[in-house]
Amino acid sequence: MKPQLAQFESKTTLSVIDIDLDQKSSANYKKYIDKMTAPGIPYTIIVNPKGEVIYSAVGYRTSAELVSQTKQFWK
Amino acid sequence: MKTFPKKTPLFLVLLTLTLLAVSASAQTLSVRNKPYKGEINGRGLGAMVLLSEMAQALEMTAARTDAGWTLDGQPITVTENAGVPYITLSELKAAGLKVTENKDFGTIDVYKPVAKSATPSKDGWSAKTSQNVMVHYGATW
Repeated sequence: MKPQLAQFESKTTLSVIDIDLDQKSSANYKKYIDKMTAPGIPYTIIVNPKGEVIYSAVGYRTSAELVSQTKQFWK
Repeated sequence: MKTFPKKTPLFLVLLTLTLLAVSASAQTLSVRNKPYKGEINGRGLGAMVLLSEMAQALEMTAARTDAGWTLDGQPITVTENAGVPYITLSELKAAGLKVTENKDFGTIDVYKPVAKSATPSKDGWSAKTSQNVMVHYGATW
């Protein structure tokens, strides 16, 4: 897991899944690849229990930026 | 205690001691039948691994909740170092994972518990938790 994500994970109550797009055989890749609709990476989304994407962001985010931008979705 | 004959060359004694030391320290950790590539601190079931790396190897989800850390929703006991969670193999075992140690071969194997089938929703989405999930897409260069 990338450092900014590991740092974010230590702060959030969200489950964080890091998908390496080069690891196409992983279960998480297969499960979440259909939600990858961005033209570039890194791409970050938050999915609710219904499978709806309720947050998305293209480009690098620091841990602090991720916290401030996603806190409303922590539950 | 084993003693060496008086005429044994010194380099043979050193070689023997080196081989003994290497065999004692070498231990292989496998996760889901694949060599574990993450950080390992310690030996045996007391060995400590980075929770995020182990969760990724197990293809399980580690999350921090108000009540503490969970692995696929199962509460686990972790040790935090500078805010980064680590877990021992014995704690993984306590959390319901199959952890087998073969002291003769110096190997430890960790297996994921058999998953319960989830009910897919209409669009094929299979929600395992009642929480929101963050997904980060990237690549290693």
